[in-house]
Amino acid sequence: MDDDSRAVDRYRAGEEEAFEELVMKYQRKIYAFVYRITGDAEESKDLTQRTFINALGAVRDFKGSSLFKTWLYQIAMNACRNHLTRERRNDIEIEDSLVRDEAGVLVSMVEKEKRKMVKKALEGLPERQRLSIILRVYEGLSCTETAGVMGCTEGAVKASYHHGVKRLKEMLAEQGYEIA
Amino acid sequence: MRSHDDIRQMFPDLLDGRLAGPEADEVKEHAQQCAECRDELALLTGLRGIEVPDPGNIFWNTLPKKVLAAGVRPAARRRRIVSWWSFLGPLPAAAAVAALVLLVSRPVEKTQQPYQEALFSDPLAVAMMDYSLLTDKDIPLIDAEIAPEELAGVSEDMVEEGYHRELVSLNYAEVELLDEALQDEQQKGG
Repeated sequence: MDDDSRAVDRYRAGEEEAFEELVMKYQRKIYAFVYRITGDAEESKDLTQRTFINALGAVRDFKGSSLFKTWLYQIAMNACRNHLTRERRNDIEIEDSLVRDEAGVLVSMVEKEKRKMVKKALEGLPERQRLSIILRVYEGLSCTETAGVMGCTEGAVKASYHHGVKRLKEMLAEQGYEIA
Repeated sequence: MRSHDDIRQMFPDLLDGRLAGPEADEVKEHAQQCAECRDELALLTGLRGIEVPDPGNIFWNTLPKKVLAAGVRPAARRRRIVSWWSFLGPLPAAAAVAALVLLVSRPVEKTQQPYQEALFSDPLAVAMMDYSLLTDKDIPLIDAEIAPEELAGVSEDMVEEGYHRELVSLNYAEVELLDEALQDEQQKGG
């Protein structure tokens, strides 16, 4: 039994702090995941909170047939899907937070432009391709874990990922982005 | 010896540092020789360069508590309230509306001090409320203007503390907006 499963058991036994520990452990990852899907920092805060509230509501029924992490990503993904469906955000151009980044990071304008292009291209991918890339490349999930989150086979994940990367390259090439 | 496609599927693991030894060497070697894979690896590296804005320590530090505060109440407490609610029989929606009307439209000063205290310290203790304050005028108004599904919503809000959950889940900007709206309506503190 892994640490997460033990924490779930402790919470079920009445130890509320155990769920707090899980929130603290995964909140940054879930926020980053949600942000990469929605591209909106404020919405991502709300969706991150909603993800954990939904998880808390369902944790007593968590069977443990998948990893807690995979299960949590699944909840976050569903929250994002519901949000995007409701808000019909898919067609809206997403504001680039880098423009209003006040952290004072000395990133060259060229680098910023390139990142913006990559970000926009990623947002332009079909949902399944985008999700497979986000989960594999950013969240570091294996093919098996990604398949668990997306509710499909490993083969389908590999295909979505492959087509997504290919399409991304084409989109960036069309915009004159130099990959190397 | 892995195929070209197998190697490509391993790039995320390589970038995440989950590949080591001969496996990592094999992937790197392939990428050096294969222009397509080299480009792909560069692209994935670029993807990982997209920054995620940090919502700040206040958000991180308060989120766990906010989640627990807004989450489901322990099963035992929920059962107790549900059973109390079902004791009312066919009247829960009407009772909820009556409570709501008392909260928003009836002057609280008409009631006795213990009732006032209970109302503010535990608004869910609707048993404390004095339904005699409802007049004939109030009831037809409710019946005429609130659809059955809305009544169900009111009932749910009262039982599940949806109102409190909603307040707790508001972010800073939303609280500011709510405050402004209340001030506009001159309802602040009401």
